[in-house]
Amino acid sequence: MTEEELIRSADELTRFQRHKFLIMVAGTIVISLAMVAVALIMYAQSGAEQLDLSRPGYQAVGKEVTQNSQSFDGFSSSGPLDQSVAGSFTKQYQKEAGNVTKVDAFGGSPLSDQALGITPAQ
Amino acid sequence: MKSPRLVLLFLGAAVTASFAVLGFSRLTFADSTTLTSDQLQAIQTNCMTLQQTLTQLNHSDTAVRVNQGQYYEEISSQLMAPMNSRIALNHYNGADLVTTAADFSNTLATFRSQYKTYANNLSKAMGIDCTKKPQQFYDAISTARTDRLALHTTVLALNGMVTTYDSQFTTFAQTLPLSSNGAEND
Repeated sequence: MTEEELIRSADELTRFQRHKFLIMVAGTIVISLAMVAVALIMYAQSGAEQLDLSRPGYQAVGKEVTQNSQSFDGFSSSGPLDQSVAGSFTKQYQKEAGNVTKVDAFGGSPLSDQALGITPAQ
Repeated sequence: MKSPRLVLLFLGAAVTASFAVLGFSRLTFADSTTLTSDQLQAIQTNCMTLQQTLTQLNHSDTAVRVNQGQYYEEISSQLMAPMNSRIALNHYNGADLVTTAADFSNTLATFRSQYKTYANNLSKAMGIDCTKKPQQFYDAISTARTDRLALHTTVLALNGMVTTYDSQFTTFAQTLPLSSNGAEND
């Protein structure tokens, strides 16, 4: 390496060192923005967005959501299996099954032309 | 000096690309059905009411999705799966129950995916100004309507599997001993 090259190299190093704090701040901001963008993509793509009741305007929906996780312990995957255990399982199962089958989820036709008033009802 | 520039350039490109992907992920396409002038006028006149109706529907559907999803998850992971494990651990033949539980799990994945599509398309309809773009608004509603129908079919399939598992288990339970005394079946 020649003397000139050494001087130029030292100049460049000094210039970089002079701005390295600003570069670090800018880099941090850019990395943060990139990570937020990735997080937002995952939030939207995973379907979590639709289930997020903390979104603006959805707080009232939270009151309609059933909080049953505390009362439901689930069924143990280990242990003996006889008619008594089966009876206990059936009781728990039918309680949960009743919860899902009693609701006509996404049924009806609230988006039909008649329901929306786009076409007069026949 | 070149390295920090390259890093900044790369990070800038990454951010731009991320936002571009985010934007594209929200794009959906709808089938077009030509409306009569009366229908277009009805949409424009009732635009405010229609938007309110869609908002209310979106809110009630969100509650239904969360509740039903919660129950389905509990049935799958806290009842069907543990019982199937217990049957296997006790050396009984529960092949039918395992098949139904696997079908239920797969259909539950379809339910999650279909609801996501439906909610996205309903949100898209809610975001369209129906006084200015009534045809586009109607097309978005048509897409959401089709999605909702598919979702309802999946819900019926899930409910059917819940009932099937129940009846299969009732039949299976009749083969079990009255008392096992803590011993596994050989």
